[in-house]
Amino acid sequence: MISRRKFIAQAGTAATAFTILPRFVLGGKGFVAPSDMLYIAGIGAGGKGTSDLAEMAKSPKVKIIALCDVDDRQAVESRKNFPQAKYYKDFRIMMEKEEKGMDACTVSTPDHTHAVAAMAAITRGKHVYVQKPLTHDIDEARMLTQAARQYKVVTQMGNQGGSGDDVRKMKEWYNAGLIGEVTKVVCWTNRPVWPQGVQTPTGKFDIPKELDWNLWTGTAKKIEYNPAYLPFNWRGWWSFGTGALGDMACHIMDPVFRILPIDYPTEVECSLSTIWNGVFSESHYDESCPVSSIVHFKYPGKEGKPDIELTWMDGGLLPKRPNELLADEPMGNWDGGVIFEGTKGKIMADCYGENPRLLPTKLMKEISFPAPSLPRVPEGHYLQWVNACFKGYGNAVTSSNFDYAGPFTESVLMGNLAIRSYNLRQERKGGETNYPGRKKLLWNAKNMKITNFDEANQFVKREYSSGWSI
Amino acid sequence: MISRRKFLTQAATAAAGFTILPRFVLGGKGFIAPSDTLYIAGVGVGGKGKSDLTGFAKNPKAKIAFLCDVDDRQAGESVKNFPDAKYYKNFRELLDKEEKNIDAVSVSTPDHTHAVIAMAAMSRKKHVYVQKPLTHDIYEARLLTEAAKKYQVVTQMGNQYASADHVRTAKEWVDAGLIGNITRVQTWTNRPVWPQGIPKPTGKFDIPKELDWDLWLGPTPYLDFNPAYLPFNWRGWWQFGTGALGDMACHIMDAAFRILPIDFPTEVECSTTTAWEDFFKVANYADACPSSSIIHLKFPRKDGKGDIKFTWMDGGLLPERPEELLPDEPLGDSAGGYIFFGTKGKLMGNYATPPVLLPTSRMKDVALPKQSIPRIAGAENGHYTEWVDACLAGYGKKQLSSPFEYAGPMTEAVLMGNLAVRSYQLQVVSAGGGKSYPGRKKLLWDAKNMKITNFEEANAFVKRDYREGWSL
Repeated sequence: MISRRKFIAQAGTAATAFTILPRFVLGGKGFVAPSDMLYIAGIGAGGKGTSDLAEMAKSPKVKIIALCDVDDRQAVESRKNFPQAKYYKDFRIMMEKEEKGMDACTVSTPDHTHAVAAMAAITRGKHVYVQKPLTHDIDEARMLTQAARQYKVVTQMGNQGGSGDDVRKMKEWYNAGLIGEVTKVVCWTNRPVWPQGVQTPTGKFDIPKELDWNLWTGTAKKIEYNPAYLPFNWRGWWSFGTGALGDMACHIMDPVFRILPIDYPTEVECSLSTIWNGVFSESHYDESCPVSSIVHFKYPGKEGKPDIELTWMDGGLLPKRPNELLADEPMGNWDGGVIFEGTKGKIMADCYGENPRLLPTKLMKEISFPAPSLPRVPEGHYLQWVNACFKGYGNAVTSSNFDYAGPFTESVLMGNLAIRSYNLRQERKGGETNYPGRKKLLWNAKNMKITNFDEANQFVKREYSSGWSI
Repeated sequence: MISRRKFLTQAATAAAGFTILPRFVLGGKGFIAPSDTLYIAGVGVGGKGKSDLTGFAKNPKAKIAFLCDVDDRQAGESVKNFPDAKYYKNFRELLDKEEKNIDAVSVSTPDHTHAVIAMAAMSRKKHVYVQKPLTHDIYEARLLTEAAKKYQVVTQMGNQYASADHVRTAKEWVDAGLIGNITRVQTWTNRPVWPQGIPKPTGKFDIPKELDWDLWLGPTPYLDFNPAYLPFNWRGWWQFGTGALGDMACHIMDAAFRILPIDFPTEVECSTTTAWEDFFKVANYADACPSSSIIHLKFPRKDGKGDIKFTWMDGGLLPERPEELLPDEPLGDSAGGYIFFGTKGKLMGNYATPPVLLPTSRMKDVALPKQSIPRIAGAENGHYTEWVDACLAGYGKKQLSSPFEYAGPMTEAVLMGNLAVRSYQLQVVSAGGGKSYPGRKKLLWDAKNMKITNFEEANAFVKRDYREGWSL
């Protein structure tokens, strides 16, 4: 079999007048590719990036042509898996050098780099697969969503459970009216499964020679290197990560967005577990995501449906067990779960919307369920995107395209906006502390603005460090 | 004015055949005391104990006659306040030696010694004022409640806001039907305002010479002295304290118990914020009370009108703001609050904050009922003197805001929350190292038999084992 690259190379050798056209130029609507290969560059090659690339490569039509990681140690496994892929440290250099040779790009970096890396690819017409949460900030999510449409690229957010069968089954149950109109949903997770609500790491450390720390911090403000942040722990720090919500809400809240007609919330409020360092001495670890949180969102009803109240809980906190759930029956699973409360009944499912069951669970034996009507994704989340990239923008559905994943991610990040607003303090005379953000925040989604607490708007869009833009 | 003590002493001197009878013997039903002074012994006289005693002493009929503390450092200020009062370190010695000179006992020790001290006093027919929560264990609360009846002693739990006006106002509004039939109550607190969910203190320390550590431990298992536990932080450790619930629920849940026809719950469930030692390494700090928790209790209404769904949240966690509450309006107060959900409206308040109807605009639109429930003179500050007066009047003569027949079941409900939390914390490690949590479910409570019926291990938290030499 001759690869597209070889084909092009040979063609180029044979006729010098022949211009090498990368696939993304050729691959417009209805165009049949000259070869059936998709050339992918992976940004962020370790951790989730390792598995993302390995999954993509399960398709014989995929070739991982380039790898990029700011930390050589993180890239080791992927470089072993794809020894022919050229390795870069700076995705901007990779984009320039490989622009012509790549069709698509995966972004599996820490959250704070998702948007800039993805945007660099999208504006070059590259299809993108971006890990969840789509972005670090609400503004970034909005921009990527718009850019995907503008540049007509095939997109997928990496919440792989979004391609699962069970969430589709649940949607069929909902569509069949098994639980009536849904007015309330509660989602929860056991995350964080690492310490949060902790002091900012201190100390002076040498930057490992394998790591480009300046590139790693990227858009975030420049801080001294500290090994506490990587390769994993950035998740719990607002400068880089998005906490428990960022880690899990894109999985656990996915059924809510996939099943119900909602997009942007109009209201959000939250509370957090307080941290104390001594008797009557409260700790304010503003840079650290909270140890646990409860977030309430309100969505206006669309398509004639009622308003929906959505609750998120993390850090081990659980919703009240539905009355219909027997005392000894498990609620959700270890990772968390979701409960839809409808006017006629309730559905509970595990993380990713898996294992849905009607409550009380004895209904599972008593009710006749609707026949499957929604298409399943037997090829899975990764290959669905690969296949859609071949077909070109607008020609195939992806489960978590940015039109879906963008507004969804904005909601997830609204939770973080509420949390960070909740932590804002004003010291009053006499040493008393005031928390002006501890109220219900009203969101104007169109203008991306909290209308009753202006300080909250700093969390809609952070300032990038100099030299970075989207 | 001649004091009762002097009166008796003089009488005894005058007539050798005259037997000195302490007030509690004379003071049966209908008996008018020979003097109008109540002789009080304070056990646990630092911290809250100090203010309890000054609270009683505001009543001119109260005499703080004895002080007892296992820690001289804690006693300092009360000793100064009541220089005539004889000081003991061991409450048993105090009661044995001074039995005849004491009418009433105030117990303001750490939670783990409330019951043994109160019971020792009650069984000697002393009236008792016991700090909240009434006891450390459910079983102890049940026993003290029964003992108050058996020994016919005047009792008061130290949730002083039970004597405040606010809760009476709220009751008048609810009784007037302003929010209809109540089906749900939400309560919350900002406590703990100290670290919880932390590893057990370690290290070897010398016991301060002022402290009788063994007595401080009382009925609980022996433990090496650690300054981390006292004088205050015992609150956050199950061996001694009762966490955020024990500290605040007797204040914040009081409105629900005072206003609604409820006593014992039938169901309880909870969740707590997880503590992590490290990445993917869950901490097992089962000795410590949790950093924050959510507890759901179900109470059948005693009037047969259905159930009350009751929620408690602590550690900074807040309930969802009622939709009637405007975005910028405060939810409760800085210490927490309660919200009653009725079929016709909602009512929000807290023990030291006046109730409001929701939406708050209703406060102008609704005709509020006239005052119908008697107020306590001095409101929350009257809680102490109310008890002094009731002791002088004798058992059954005067109404109190928080007698054990009321405070006992309420404390049991508070402690049911802790039973749920400790069941939730139970970790079972399998041979393969896997961890499971069998108590993370809805627990069903048989209040009559004081038994969780669907998780036997939970019953370990109904009644703890006392150390040898200690009993109720």
